[in-house]
Amino acid sequence: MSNGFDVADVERRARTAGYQDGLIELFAAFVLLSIALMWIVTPALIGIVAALIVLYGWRVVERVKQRVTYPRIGYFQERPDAPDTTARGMLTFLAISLGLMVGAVVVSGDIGDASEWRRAAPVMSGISLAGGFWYTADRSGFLRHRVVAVYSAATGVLLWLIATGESYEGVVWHLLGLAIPLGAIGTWGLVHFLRTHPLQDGPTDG
Amino acid sequence: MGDLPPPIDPNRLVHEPGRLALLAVLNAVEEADFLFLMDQTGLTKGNLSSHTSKLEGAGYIEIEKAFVGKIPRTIYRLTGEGATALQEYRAHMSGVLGSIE
Repeated sequence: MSNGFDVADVERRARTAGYQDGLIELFAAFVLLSIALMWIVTPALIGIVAALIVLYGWRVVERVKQRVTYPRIGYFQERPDAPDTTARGMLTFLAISLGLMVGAVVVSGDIGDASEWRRAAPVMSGISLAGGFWYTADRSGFLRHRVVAVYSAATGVLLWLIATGESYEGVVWHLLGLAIPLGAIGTWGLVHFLRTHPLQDGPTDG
Repeated sequence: MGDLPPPIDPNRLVHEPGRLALLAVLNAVEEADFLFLMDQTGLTKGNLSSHTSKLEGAGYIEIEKAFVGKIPRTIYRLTGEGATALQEYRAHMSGVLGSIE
């Protein structure tokens, strides 16, 4: 290895190593697609199904990492954030997105009209998911996560402007509109990762 | 002229580039295995083994032998002592570099 290196850069590369396999985007696409389909088929079960997918789906991702990622770049665990920092961040973004949704309804005129709340729902999904991807971008350092965050917020606002409010079609379109590009980005990331990180030959343990 | 203190007197164990890279990688993650450390630092197996032994001897990292199924996996973690040594080294080097500007 070279004598001239940047310690901060070594740390940054180690922190971002787990995001290069595209699995987080594929998982996010699967979650959003499942919620969108559930919203169309049985809206009453969305909360339960979403919770189950997030809880058990991550275990599937971890298994895939064990078969695909770790044999190529090695096993590691990210350093987690302090639980209170994570909780504070999530609550802040939820409050902001809820506040913006209420603001959108107020701007529309009639807060007693249920269709205005349905119409403004993409604002909340757009901003809250933007928060999630902005946080991911902070951890991964990848511009594509930052772009997805901005795209989520922008499409959320756009769908509020064009949705009718007769149903939750704005939210469904927002989730589908995020899931499809995320699936494409994740697939590209995984293929690129597999091409650039061949399996290691021979024993790789100390 | 009296004895002047040496301008640079870093922790020699941390100052070596391979070990510094290892400490930096382990400072960024919770834990990692041998392959990950090799991939991130570019060190050879022999060099990596030698450096990790020295760092373990100094109490800067801890090493745990585990199995995933039937495959052995050695896990490396930075200790509190190691984190402090890295932090002090960085502060020391920043001070040295600042003093010559």
